[in-house]
Amino acid sequence: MTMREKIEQAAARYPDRRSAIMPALLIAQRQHGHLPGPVLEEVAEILGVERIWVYELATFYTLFHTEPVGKFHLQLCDNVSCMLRRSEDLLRHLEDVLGIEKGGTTADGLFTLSTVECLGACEMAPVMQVGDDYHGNLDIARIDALLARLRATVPHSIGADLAAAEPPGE
Amino acid sequence: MAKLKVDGKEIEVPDHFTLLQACEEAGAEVPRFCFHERLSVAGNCRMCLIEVKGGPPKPAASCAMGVRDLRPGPNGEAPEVFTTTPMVKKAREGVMEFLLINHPLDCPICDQGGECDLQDQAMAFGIDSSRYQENKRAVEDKYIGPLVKTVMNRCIHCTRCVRFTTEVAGIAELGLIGRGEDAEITTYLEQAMTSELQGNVVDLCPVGALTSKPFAFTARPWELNKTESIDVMDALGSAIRVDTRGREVMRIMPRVNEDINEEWISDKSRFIWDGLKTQRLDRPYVKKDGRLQPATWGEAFQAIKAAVAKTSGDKIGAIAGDLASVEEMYALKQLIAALGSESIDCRQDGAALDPSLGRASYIFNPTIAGIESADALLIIGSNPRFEASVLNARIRKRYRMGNFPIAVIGEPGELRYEYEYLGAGTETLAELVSGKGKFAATLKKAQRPMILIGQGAIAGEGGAAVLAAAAKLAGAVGAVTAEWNGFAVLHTAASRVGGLDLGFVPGANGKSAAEMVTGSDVLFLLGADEIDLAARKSGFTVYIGSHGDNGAHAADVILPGATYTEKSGTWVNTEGRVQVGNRAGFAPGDAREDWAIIRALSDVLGKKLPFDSLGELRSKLYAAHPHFAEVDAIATGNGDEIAALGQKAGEMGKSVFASPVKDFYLTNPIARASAVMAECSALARNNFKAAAE
Amino acid sequence: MFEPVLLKNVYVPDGHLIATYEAGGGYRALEKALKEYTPHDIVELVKRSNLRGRGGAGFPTGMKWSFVPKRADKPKYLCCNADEGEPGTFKDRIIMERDPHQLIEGMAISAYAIGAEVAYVYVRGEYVLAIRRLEQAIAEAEAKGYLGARILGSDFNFVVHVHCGAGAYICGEETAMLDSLEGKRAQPRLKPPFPAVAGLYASPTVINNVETLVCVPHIVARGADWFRGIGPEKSPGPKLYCVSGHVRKPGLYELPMGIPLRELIEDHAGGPPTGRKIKAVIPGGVSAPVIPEQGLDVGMDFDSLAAVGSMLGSAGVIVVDDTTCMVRVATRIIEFFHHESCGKCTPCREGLNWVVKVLRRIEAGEGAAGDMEQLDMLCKGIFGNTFCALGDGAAMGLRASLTHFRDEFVAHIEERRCPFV
Repeated sequence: MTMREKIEQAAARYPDRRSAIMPALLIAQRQHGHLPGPVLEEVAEILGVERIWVYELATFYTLFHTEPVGKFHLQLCDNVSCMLRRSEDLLRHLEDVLGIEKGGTTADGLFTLSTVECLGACEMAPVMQVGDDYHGNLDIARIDALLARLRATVPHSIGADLAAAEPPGE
Repeated sequence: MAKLKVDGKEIEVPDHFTLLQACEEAGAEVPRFCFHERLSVAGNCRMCLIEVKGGPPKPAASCAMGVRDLRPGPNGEAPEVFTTTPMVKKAREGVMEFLLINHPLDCPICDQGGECDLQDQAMAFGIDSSRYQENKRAVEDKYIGPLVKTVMNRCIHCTRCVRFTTEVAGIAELGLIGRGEDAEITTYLEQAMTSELQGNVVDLCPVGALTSKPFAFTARPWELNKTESIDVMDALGSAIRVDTRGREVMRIMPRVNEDINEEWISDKSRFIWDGLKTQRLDRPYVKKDGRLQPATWGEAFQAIKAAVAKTSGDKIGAIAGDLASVEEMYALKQLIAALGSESIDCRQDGAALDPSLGRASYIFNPTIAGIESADALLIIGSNPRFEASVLNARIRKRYRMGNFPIAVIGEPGELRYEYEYLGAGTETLAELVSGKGKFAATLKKAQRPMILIGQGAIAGEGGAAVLAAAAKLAGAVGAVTAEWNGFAVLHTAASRVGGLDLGFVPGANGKSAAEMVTGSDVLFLLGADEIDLAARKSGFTVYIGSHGDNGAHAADVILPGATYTEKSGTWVNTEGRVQVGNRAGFAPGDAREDWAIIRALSDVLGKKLPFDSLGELRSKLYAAHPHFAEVDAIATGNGDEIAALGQKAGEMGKSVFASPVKDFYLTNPIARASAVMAECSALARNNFKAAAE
Repeated sequence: MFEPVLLKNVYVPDGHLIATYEAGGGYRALEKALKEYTPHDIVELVKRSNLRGRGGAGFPTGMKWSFVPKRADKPKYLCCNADEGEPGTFKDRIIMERDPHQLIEGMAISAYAIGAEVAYVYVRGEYVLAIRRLEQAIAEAEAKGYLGARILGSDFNFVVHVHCGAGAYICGEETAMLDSLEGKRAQPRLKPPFPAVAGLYASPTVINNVETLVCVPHIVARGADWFRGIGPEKSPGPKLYCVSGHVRKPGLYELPMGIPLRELIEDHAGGPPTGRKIKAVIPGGVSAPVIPEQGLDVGMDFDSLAAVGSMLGSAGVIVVDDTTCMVRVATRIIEFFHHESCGKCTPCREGLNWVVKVLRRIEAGEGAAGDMEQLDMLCKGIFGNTFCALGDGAAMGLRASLTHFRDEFVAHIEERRCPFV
């Protein structure tokens, strides 16, 4: 299905096409990796809604990125339950091994490192979401193994289709 | 009605009132930033907190609570609210302190200073210092167009501007992006706003976040003289206030007039003022050796006298322009008659409006405020958004109330509300008149249908037939009854209804405006700049007016006149409402008020008009046309006249309707002299091109 | 021994598939509801059960349903609030991932009761697995005739749509969720009108939490008396408790409403790690004011917790041991609320920003004399003056920390460092 078809399919679920902005942005972000101006405009055009409405949502909700993010977006929870289980040690470790600070992206475009609010998986704190997947009960050894696994899925030459690729499934 | 006690004072207010309105009714002052009577309730600033007796032990936002939400006391006592208790005082002080922690407090360099709600309310309801010791937030300023300047550090997130553009202007251009502390007002990727009403956000902004860009850093409000007057940029006659310093107009603001503009004005009305200063005719000119050269008043008058002497009365004519006041048209009409001519016309566009058919045939009978009680609307040959932006906002207001079917015959355009597009011109209208089509049934079913006829439908050849057909339709669908007259002619020229009332139209032997261009030896143009003078190859042309525009370029003699801000004058708006504008300053150089120029000229021509002052002129005018004395009133049209007009309906021929307003920002000589309007016009054209691509 | 009801299927292999669910008696309650009860009967049944909303506010569910106008010229909507964002809470995710049919059955019965034919499940966007499982379950239920037109031969038509959130805690506030569903910034709405009268698309709307809805099939199947017999009479029923933080067995526990907090932590979640002592517990997600160790004998139900100045909230129990700096915990919680404040109202937007700055200074050893008074003042300035409960929750939580652990704050300021580092 094309992006337009996917968005139309989502829009059919609502009596008002404005409701479909959020699902449309999620679809568009899956396709494009992030949401630059032209993508917002395409979404507005497909749904026939005001651009400013699309822009408002793209900047209000934290899962939307108007700036590019790495192929693997490491989203480490540092809210209370994970904090109590020393998520900050993991953050420091990730910053060290990736050579970036929180919020940054590695030079090869592979990893973006963020801290996020509670992921709702406190029973396996500390938790990190990468793409669609949750990784819980993390410690430094598991983080290292995870990074190695993620790197292994990437072919040696990183093409332009990077952003569209998805991390491994569950 | 609901009874309640405010600070111990018992009052009775309508059920739909908010507590805030009820408190005001009781004379209690309630501070507010986000609340605005003409916008939806947001309830976000939390400044209007009051205490409700028997409610939860916390203050209530009075803008967000209705009197009908109050509960009576245990023994059925009237509910009680308080606006001055310690709880209220403390809560407001707290909110005010919060509002100010990130506000830059840069009042000395802020254009809002002196008329700032935040300043005023901080003085009245705040505490004298802040306990905030941390760094303030810095927000980047946004580009949102040439009219509205932003200083976003000052924004307090009241969202009035967002609600105005979305709700009143009908175009969601401003929005709130980001969230929490990082929320910012902006347009989509800082594109320029496109609404013709955008300047109103400057008035709505309670702080100095959105200010007037052309006015930036030019004056302080307290050093300005404020003159209440009437706008002439369209035929609505919106209430304005002209602010001057010395003889210079510094800015124009709206005044409240519930009948006409509520409290909005269009951007043309608001930002026109730089056009008052450029391209001005500030001395008489006489054409010598093929070139217009500066002259004295005496030389100019003598040149006219010579030209008049060379011809006969029937070869003399006069055309009144779109901005002319009733007084100067009256004086000119008298003069032309004295010279023995019946060739006068106030219809530069050739609109087929005929005062002999009765006033109801050419005014906006339902009135502007009456739009709100209409229940169906047919627009024929008009784009109200460009022809009368503020009236269009009223249509939108009615549209938002719901159950208001709207249809258009003419050019399809983005009108800021949904409508059914029926067709382009006479054929569609004829079908409707014959009762065909769904919308004919809709109109018929409506209790108070409205038929809006634009100048685009009635100018030119078949105009009279179209007007008659519209009248016939109005009769057929019951748009004219004892209580309701839905026949609504929308004018674009401020002078037009006054001119028609005066009978500034050709007599039995007179020539029309178009005929005069080619067929007159001496032609007086009273600020007439919208008529095509290319065909005028011979004859003597006198231009009386304020700007070096089309009319002046074709003139043999120029007599410098005054603009609407420089004279006291009467204008009659599209509803037929008589209004008087006041002089805010003097015309530049040798320029004079137009009626006085005509009076002086009449003397030189040996046809001395019988008045020496504006007062005398007006008493003569009122004697001849008593309704002009009834300022702010409408001499209502007679519904029978619509019926009579409908009788004349016949073959319309085949034509399509086009709005006369091709460029909203450049519809008159003042606008065309304005650099601000030129910039807006260029932006609008680019946007149009971009949209078409 | 309490027999789990809500989690019965959760740990069964392939519990998310319809076959498993049906094998365990799934969708029989829906059949019973449609065949034996009128919509009004269901509302009355739920009223009699004393089921109270599990999202946090504890409003009686049956009463909420009864506010929906019987006749309406507009369609009615059921919205399931699955935007589980309260830190320390993960119950809804586990149900949706492992037993989505239980939710669908609960929604179908609830929709039947209120007369809704369309439901939206607002699931937070991070819950990708839950979303997939739910979508798959909806497809299965449609194929089997539990959703769609004329369900199980009745006149009842009902469809369920999944709406993915995109990262905004405020969507847990029911009216903000409605704005979000309508494609707007998620900001709370003015009330009145209440959603039951004018909610989604200005239509009558009921918004219920996942856990609330999954209680409904069991009430239909086993009766109101059964439900009311579990736990305290005024807030009865089986309850899901999310336990995390400094315990040996963090996880999701189903136990009767009203179980003592200490018993939950010590007996079920294994108590604190060896050698450590419990210092404090946040009983209901970070909006719930913290309870110091000596208060742990409180019952975990709406009324008991409210009586001690805290709240059941989402029953996200976060256990904090004695090695932890409470200033740090309080700061992190306020940072969360500051990050999630929608920005609509002044006290929340500006007040939290101020509080965060002061707390960060104190935590970093840069506190100053007067900071404690300033924090007290800020709590007062925010609490009660905000548009919705987010700001109130933040202020209430901070006030509890300032009350119970004031000495820790003062120590930071006086020693100009964090004593726990």
